[in-house]
Amino acid sequence: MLATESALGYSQVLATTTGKSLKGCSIVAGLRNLRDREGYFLADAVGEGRWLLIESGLSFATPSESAYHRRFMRELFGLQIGLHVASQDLKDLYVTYEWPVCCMVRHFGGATPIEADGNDVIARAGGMPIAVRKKIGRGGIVYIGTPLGPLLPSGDREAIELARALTEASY
Amino acid sequence: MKKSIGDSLIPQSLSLELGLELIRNAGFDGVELWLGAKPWFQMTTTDAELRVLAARVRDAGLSVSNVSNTLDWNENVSARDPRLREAAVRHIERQLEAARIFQTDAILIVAGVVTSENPYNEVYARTVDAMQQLAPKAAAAKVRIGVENCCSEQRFLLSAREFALFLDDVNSPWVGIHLDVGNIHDTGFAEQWIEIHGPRITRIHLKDVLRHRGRCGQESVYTNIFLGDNDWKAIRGALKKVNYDSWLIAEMERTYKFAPDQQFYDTSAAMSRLIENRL
Repeated sequence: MLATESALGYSQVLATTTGKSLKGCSIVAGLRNLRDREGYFLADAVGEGRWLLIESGLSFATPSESAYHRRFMRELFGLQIGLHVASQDLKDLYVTYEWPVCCMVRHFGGATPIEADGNDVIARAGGMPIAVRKKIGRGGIVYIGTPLGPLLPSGDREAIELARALTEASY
Repeated sequence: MKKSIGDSLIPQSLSLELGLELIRNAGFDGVELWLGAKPWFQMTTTDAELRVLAARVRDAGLSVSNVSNTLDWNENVSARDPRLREAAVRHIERQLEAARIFQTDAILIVAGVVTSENPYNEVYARTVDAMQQLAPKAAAAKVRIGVENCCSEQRFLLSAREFALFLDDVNSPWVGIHLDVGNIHDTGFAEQWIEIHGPRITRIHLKDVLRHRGRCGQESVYTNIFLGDNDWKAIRGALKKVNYDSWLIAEMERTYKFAPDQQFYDTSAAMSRLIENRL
């Protein structure tokens, strides 16, 4: 359900953005886990020059989904995903983004920290990297450790501005 | 963000000059002037007298943060009696004129009061209509009308989304919300109101609220900043999120039994902590 809600949010933003949106970029909304062949399809797409905007759906994942998600991100994209941190354990109510726009957006059910590990950290919460950008092959991924999509239909101005910028960014 | 406090809080024993001096010495940058609250600012006060008042504020090293009124509770734009509605429009127009003289760009009004005799649907329609009539006047004066959320006392516009729909219906950039973070009581969360209204916020009133007392019972639900149940960290975060950088105005009850001037110093210090995010 989270992925559906999240995808709906992005689709609403995309309906109002310019034609240059999503040029060479795909959105994977509210990702918890996926089948191996779907994962390899995404990895191949990245290798061939596609950029993926992967939005974590671990806020509501089971432990096994979470373990699979983390292993998958590590093996295919070299991303070290931490254990999900619940809302009440995060120091900040907001995730502060520095790219592609500077803004603050409330996290949604906590956040998934990511090892900076040479990646471009684009957002933090409570001092922890929450979103990163990483070039892989001819493409790359932007990994967001907390769902942004569900905030979009609610009219959150900063979230909409961020989503619009993410879909229109030059990767 | 800058700090202000209402002239309505100046102790009765103090003159205007001493009151302004107290406000300045306590560390405030400005003063909120209340039409109808003090002898120096009434409906009968002339333009010339308002210019003198503006000069006194300036001489005290202060600015006027905004112009509010105490008259709306008796003369409201939503009243059934057309004479009361006309009186309400007149005093709001006077606020707009005074704001120009005081060189500030915002006024506060309480628009819409629901009672057992004045039902919600009527109040809503009349209030939207009045705001649509006043908006061009506000635009001409280049002064924004901030409709305050006195949710419980007004029994009107009780949720943030409802308030947003009201402003949508008014449909003017010159009419926004004067947000009081202490007026939400146990029906919501101030930080969410800040997020939802963002650029529509004209000014912000600060006070704290004791949620366990519910809404408008026999005991006051209001108290000084940091003494109640508002989540001030969340409020500070929301202010940063929406880039609010305008006036914060202390508006509370006189709670000090002794040394009433101390309330000004304590309030100013608390507001500085909030602005500097030292919470």
